[in-house]
Amino acid sequence: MFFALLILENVYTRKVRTLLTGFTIAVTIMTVVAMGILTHSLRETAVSILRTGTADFTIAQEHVTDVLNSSIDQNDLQVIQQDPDVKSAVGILVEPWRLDDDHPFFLRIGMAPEDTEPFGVTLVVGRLYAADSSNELILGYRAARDLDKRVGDRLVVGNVDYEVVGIYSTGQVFGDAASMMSLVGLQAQVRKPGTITLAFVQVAEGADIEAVRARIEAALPQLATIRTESDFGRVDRNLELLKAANTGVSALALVIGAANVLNMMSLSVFERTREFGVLRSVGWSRIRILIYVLAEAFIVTLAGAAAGVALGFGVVHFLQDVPTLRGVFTPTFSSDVFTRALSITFGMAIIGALYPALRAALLRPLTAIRHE
Amino acid sequence: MNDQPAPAIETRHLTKIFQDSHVRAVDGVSLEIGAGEWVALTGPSGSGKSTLLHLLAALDEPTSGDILVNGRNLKSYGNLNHYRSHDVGLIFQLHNLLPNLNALQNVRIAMVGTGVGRRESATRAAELLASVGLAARTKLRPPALSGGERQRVAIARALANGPSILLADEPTGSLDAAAAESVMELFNRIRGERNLTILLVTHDPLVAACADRIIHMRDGRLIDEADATPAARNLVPPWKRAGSQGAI
Ligand SMILES: Nc1ncnc2c1ncn2[C@@H]1O[C@H](COP(=O)(O)OP(=O)(O)O)[C@@H](O)[C@H]1O
Ligand SMILES: [Mg+2]
Repeated sequence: MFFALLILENVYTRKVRTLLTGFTIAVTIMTVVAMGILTHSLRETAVSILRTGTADFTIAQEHVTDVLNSSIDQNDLQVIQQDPDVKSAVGILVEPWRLDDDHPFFLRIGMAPEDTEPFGVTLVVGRLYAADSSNELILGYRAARDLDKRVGDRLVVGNVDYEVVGIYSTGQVFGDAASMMSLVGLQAQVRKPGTITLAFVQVAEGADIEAVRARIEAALPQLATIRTESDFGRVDRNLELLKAANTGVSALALVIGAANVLNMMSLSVFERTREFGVLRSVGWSRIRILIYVLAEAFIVTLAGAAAGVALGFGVVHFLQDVPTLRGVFTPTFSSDVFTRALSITFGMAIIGALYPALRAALLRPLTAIRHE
Repeated sequence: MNDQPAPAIETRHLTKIFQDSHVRAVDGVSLEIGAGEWVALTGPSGSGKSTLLHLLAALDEPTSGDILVNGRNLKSYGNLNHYRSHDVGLIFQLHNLLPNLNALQNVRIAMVGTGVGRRESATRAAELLASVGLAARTKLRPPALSGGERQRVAIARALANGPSILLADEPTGSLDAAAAESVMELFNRIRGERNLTILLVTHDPLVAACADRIIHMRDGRLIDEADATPAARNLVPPWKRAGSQGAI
């Protein structure tokens, strides 16, 4: 279409300005995408700990900065177990350990062996650890593959020389990259006797889950029950902050992008006042002028955003290798991030270009032609 | 010409007052131009010639009075886009081409949104440029063309949708005598080929002499030829008078 060609011609004619605006948009969208993927992935990682197994809900200490800092007294677990509607309550202790640069966040999960099956752990090879052992562990299959360990091999974590007695699978990336061992053994090792990190509760058939939650929170106010993702903020302040930062970044990106589009299109429309007059004088309608200007803004914005998404992936790739994030951050690419990036892109183009486009469309042909 | 039912252009008490300057730029002008007629409009600078032309081109709205083109009152149009693209062709003193587009594209912009297909628009633009003697220059942009060539592109563009009327505002005003002369020859030829009605604003008596009829304007009004001629002569730049041998 010749009309489309004209629009491309306009984009091409003002190369430097177009490139600068496109670049700014690329950087803002890159930030949106990278930040979005980071937030989403860290959330997934954290939530996946809580979502492990077949529990109806999870219990953690309320108001901790990081869910892994949660600390629950095992006596509280007994209180929970005594609730008539609670079918089972499994307590686990989670301890991160820096194995080496490549595994800065290797998890040891202490759990009674009889709890592994209801929890959703499937043994692939070997056997389970003994209930009171202090130096046996089973490795998630991803961890085993990554560390190149087989049943019978040894693995030093902390100052314990463990024997790998089995390989398991949970069907979750996070669980499969960790290790499991005796709860009492781990409690003794990290000097946290009688303490667990999280409890996983299964409610009796037909019981009211919300009522059980309410009873537990009333009886044990220091604890929080987590059933949905939105409950998660109560036990992980870091993630809430990250989410807020993510929203802030998106809003900022929209403002910066729109301001740049506005600047580019205002200049472009002002310089071309005469052109719009000529086009109107040969019969172009106001609507066509409006589309003509908007389309130009959309092309630049979309091209910039496409580059930004690509850059965003690059940044995510790079972040994976940043030491403090390695192991914690496994990128998960949710479509939400792209929906958000796309909405922001369209928002930038519309907010930035609408006013200049309307100005161009509403110019009186003669005023425009006379414009020098 | 006389068997045409309605004049090509008719104005009735046409008045344009500019609100900001309170200037009666066009002051009660009633005129008739027959179909196929070539009329030159002359008059001193500021006499309202351009304003009248803009009103006829529907680029500006009259304060009062009527414009009838081919018998139809412009007030009866819901929107004037189709009138601007199909009924009249416009040529200005400054060619008003888009500097980033080549000659062919500059002609094609007049066909955007008129339902003319992509191929058809390219073919028609090329034919029009060939007919104004620019067959070999279609890919050049305005800065690479001479003044006369640019004005030819503007003429080709004005003809793009086959209007029956050409409105030209000092089309030779920024051309040298030789270029002006050949542009006038072109006007004469296309008028013959297309049976066009032409209203041409000019300062140049030699250019005006090409027309079938000359009308004069002063202070926004049409005046008698006898009163106007000396005044108009005085305004002709000497370099134009000295250089030309006659416009046709
Ligand atoms: N947009 C405008 N606003 C106010 N006054 C104008 C405008 N355009 C033209 N005029 C005035 O109207 C009168 C006629 O101008 P114009 O039609 O351009 O004359 P010409 O083309 O005969 O030189 C002049 O006095 C001019 O100053
Ligand atoms: Mg004028």
